[in-house]
Amino acid sequence: MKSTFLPFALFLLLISSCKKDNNQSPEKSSNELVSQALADFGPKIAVPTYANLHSKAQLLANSIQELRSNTNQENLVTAQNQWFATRTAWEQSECMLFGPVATEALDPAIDTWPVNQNEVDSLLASSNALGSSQIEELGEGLKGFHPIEYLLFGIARSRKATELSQRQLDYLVALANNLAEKTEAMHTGWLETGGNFTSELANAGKGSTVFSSQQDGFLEIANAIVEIIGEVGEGKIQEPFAARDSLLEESPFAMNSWNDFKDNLVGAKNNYMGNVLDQNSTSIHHFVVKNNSALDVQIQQAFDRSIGNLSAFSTPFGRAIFSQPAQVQTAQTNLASLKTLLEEKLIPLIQLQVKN
Amino acid sequence: MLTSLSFIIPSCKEPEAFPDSNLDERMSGGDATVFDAGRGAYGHSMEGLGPRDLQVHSFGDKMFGTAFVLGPAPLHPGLGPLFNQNSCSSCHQSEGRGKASDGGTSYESLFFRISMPGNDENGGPIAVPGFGHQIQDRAVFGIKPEANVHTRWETRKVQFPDGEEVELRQPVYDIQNPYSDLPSGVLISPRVARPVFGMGLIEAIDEASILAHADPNDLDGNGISGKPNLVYDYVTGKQKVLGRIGWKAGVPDLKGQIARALNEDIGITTSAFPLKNAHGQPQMAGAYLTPNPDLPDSSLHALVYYMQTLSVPARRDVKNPDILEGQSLFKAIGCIRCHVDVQTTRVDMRQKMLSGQIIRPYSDFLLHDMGPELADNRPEFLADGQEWRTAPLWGIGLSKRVSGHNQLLHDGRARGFKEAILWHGGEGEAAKQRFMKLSASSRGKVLKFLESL
Repeated sequence: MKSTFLPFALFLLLISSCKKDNNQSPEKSSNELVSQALADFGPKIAVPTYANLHSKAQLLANSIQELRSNTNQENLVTAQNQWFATRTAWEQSECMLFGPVATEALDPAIDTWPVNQNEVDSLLASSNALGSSQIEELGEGLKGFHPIEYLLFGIARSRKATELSQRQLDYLVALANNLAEKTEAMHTGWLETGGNFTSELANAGKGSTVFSSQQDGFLEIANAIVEIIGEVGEGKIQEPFAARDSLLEESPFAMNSWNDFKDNLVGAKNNYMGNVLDQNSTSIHHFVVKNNSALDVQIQQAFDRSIGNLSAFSTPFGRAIFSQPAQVQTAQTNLASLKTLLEEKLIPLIQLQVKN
Repeated sequence: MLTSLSFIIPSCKEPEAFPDSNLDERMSGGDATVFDAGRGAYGHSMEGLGPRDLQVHSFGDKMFGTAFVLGPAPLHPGLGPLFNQNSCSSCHQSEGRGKASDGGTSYESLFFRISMPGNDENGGPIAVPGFGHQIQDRAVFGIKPEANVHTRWETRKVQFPDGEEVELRQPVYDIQNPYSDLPSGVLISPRVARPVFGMGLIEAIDEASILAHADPNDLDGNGISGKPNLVYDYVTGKQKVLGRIGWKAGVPDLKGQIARALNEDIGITTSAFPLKNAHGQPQMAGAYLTPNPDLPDSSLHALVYYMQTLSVPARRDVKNPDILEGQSLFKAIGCIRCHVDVQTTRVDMRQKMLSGQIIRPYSDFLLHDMGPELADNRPEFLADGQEWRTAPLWGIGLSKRVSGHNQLLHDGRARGFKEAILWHGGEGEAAKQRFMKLSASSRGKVLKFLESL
């Protein structure tokens, strides 16, 4: 048994390791890997990520349109599920909050929190027009993911389709269309035919008007990963947990916070690995393997540990901070360790090895 | 014995002054310099903060990004009823620079100051009846925004002696849809959000150091005046305090700047500005009459401390020959007379990271006549309609990297350093003319120097 299993396991290992790096030639230098990663980031990471987000947001808009046309519980659940799917795509993209999403203020336009509930209620009680231009003019607490969440889910997922008024449905349709427009802008901002931020990274240090060196461009990608890990551990989890105040939870209506946190980490790991939506790109991972393979193992393990922690909760975050403080603390501690590892090992490695 | 004496005598010699030229040019903020040329370059805390200080800094950081909502609400109430934005970071994205409107009535990170001609009892701008000192173009539900401001851009070409042509653009503003009649003669001044790093160091520059550069009557005859703006401190009630913050140096310190911005830009009241910006407006129907701080002093203090303790990004490529030549040209053509490179902060051991620092803000923090083309024709204390504070240049080379654009000047009209220089008039006219007469290669080196800041 042992003698037949071992060769088979080795064969599997060989296949899996070949698959993982099948677009990497082992003889590539560290500098070539960095150039390739910068060239790949736009077409193989950013563009597919935002294309997927826009596609999901459009499906959400379609499902809400259908909900307005046929307001029943089944269509409400469909719209809710589409909100979750869009939310996942967005949270997985938050590990790269640079480029158009940042400079064009698209992030605050779709993900400002808390919801300005008094204003939402006043707007709903009015007869103001709810066309696209009116939605565009609304303040940030009145549009984007969280007002849609507030209307679709109600307090703690208590919404029933029969409770939705025509006015709420009209507002939902307008909000979802606005969200789809913003995600489209994120996508086109990276396209060659649009804002072409792709070329800024690809040409870092070689004519880019944004990135003065390849190191600058590479650090941008790495720092964005570090930032989202810090945001999850030190902001999204820390603030409600330290204050023991579930009001500080970002996504209380859909009770989706654990998924948000997990998706942030999944997106960050996929970005690190160059494995986004089945696109196999050269990435920071390949650079680290080339220069310090033990560090790559540490980083992947730390990512997996945190993703495992965040996936393990069955109690909503707003309750877990009271009922499972030890587990929340463990998740937070591991996130802090991952962040420290990246700050103290990965960033200096890039600063040391990426000379161009 | 003789040998010992000869050893002692030289060591009694007075130490020579350590020349500024020996200091590391990269250290724009002295010890409070950070080596990050990336997107986060403006948002680093200073080195040397203790755990408690870091806690306050972090809380201020969170306040800076807090989106306020209409109260009563369990979280972050206080927005409005009139406002321009709902958070500090909406205008100062990544602690950086705002930008102009692309045209029309949409703009996110600038606002418009307004006033009536003349001075009020404190020597400051006279509030516009029913509108105050600033147009709030947004309002909570049921309240009308004060007005919208429409922007139209006019362009013209400027030609260098060597034939190079540059297009300049100039905004034309039109106040539209006022909630009530605007009095005639209202003065309007656009103000793009400025970066917020290094502010603690600016506060800490010894007043005498700033005044040492002042020459309001140009007694030395070099064509450069340098006038201190003496302003009313709305927080303490003190008269004729040296202004050093804002486009016209109209505010003496960060607390005054932040408390006023909270009030005017977001509608948030504090102990320093306890009345809503809509106080007394006819459409408020008697609401908001009593002082009622939305934010406790601890939160205001944290915001002030946050901005006081943001580091200055280091210069890059300071030994590059082209940049060194550009730096020499920057001095030779006279830019340095207003954009004074070195300043020293006062000794204050309560804040050791700000104390006794030799910094390079490239500003004298004084007012200068910049000519009629840049004029807003709106006085602010001693600043007349053509005078502006010398804008600090530290960190300016990272503006595109941090904020995604390179719009400069008070209204964002300049789309890069070259255009910004070409808008210099008045006391800056001679330096501009000298810049224009440089060869294209030399001009490029001056621009490369600016990019290194």
